[in-house]
Amino acid sequence: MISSPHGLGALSSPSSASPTLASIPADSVSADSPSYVDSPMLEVASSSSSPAGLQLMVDLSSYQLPQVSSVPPSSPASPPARSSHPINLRPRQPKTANLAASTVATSTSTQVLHSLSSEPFAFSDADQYAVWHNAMCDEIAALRSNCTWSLVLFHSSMNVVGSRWVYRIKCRVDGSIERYKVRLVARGFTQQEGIDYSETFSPVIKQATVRLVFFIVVSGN
Amino acid sequence: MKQPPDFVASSLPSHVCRLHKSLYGLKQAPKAWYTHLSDFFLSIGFRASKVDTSLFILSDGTNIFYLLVYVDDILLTGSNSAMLHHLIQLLSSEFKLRDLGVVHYFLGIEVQSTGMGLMLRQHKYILDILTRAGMTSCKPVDTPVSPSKVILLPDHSFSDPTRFHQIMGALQYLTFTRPDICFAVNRVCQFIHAPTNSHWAAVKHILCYLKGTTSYGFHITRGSSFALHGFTDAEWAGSIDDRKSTGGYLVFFGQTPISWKSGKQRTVARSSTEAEYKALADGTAEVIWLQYLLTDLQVPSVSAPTIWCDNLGATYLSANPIFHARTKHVEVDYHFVRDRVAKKEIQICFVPSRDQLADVFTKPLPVASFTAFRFKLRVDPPPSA
Repeated sequence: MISSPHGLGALSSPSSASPTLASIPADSVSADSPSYVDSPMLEVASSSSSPAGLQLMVDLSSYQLPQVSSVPPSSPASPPARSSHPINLRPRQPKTANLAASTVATSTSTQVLHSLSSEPFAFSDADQYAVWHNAMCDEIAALRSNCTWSLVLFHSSMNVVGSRWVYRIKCRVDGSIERYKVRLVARGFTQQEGIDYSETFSPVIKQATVRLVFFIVVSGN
Repeated sequence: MKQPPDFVASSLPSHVCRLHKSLYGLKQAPKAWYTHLSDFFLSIGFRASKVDTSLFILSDGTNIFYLLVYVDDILLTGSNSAMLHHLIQLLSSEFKLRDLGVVHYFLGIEVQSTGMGLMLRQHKYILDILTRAGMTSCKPVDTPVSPSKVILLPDHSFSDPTRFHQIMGALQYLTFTRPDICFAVNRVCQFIHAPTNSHWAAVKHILCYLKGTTSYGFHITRGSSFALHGFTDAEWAGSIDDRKSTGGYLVFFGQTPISWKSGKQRTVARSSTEAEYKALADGTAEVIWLQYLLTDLQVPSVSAPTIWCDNLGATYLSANPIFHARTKHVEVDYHFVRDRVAKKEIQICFVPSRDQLADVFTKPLPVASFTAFRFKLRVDPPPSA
């Protein structure tokens, strides 16, 4: 199993950055829900400032958004937001692009360069970089302004689906990078028909209709 | 939903998100999107087509506008450019959208204007498929299916079924602009559940054919005739495995092919007439659907559509209640077609096999006749080349 250099960097950092890691009760650390761990970690971290990059906590009402823009993208002392991710490292095969990155990129500068041209697969990879982090903050802000969800207490009868981030680099026709697009997607494959949803439908036009409309457009101008 | 990683509300870490709106990835997300979209279109005066739910029509007596939806790709066209502009503004007030101007790329299909009309092609898509299959430097062949090769021999199963599925999926989408490979693709798709090496060889044959015809596109030319006519054909007991027949149809509107299909019939036919009759019923259903669509699009149909069939027995059957003893078991198809003929909604005529354009959807053909058929299917290289 090859883990990316970002992951390795994060693994080594907590020893110097936060002794609080050890204080996390083991039972709260589950592979599927690293998010529950992140929050207390962040609060602790914000009180003890890390030496390299200053951690500014911005409170968007109920969300804790660590601002990374002031932090060099891959400084050796990782911000505390990252220090929780060793727990997060699941044995997952990275994409070939990331695989190449882990073998080729040795110095920090090449890592930064690489981050701007490849799409990360996992949250722990992407969160290292300011562009992706800012994109995620923007996306969360957009979801909040749309009132996409409200927080409710968990009840055992609920079928809670997971979510993950999807990272895409949008390019212009000439190959230059247009923007870093981030989307939060729900992992809908655990939903059950009849319980979580009743009907599905996708608006897909029939091929014959497209051809017919084109023909009418051509013939009737 | 669980709270997204690293964006957990600090005060309520063990809460979960109750979604008020759909997120990408949920099973109900596409339907929610469609409902939202169609509600808006209906509110600004469009009406949904009854036969294709992704088509919306706006008509105010003199002008008419069509709106095609493919999830989040929208194509809007109309007869009045000022009002068209107004509609785009209306849409952008509700949705965040990019106006791509005059269409030259829709659903991965390149739309080019030629002197005579439009050419639709998937040039880049073909190159992508060839790259994905590692076939960029293969030797081109003249037809997508070799008439001499049989692909159904018992064989070792293909080592990488996922790759097989991916290529086949891509080829199926390619039939959007390439009716010439429709039969070849459908024939291999029948084995998609358990591909063998000989099936993969057949796929490679299709790719070699595409290699030689990457720049070819589907031509839509300005037509003077606005009549529907269709061709139906069947290859009786063409499948060696189960002796089911292969049926196909091709429907023209004026001089342009609009709809086509090639496929193995669901039941075994006991005579060639029966197989032809089933194909005829499928073709009739398609022609009727297209008629409804034309009514929705407010294009007046001039006369009852004609369906050409190269089996005399089948044409007689559609007109007269004869031979009933031998066709008892195809009763549904039989009544379906005969009803339409009796009401003069369609007419069925005989066409000699050499002029039967649906032939190319039912059997492998030698090079000369395949090329002739391809020309009639309006699949040609771009005019300048």
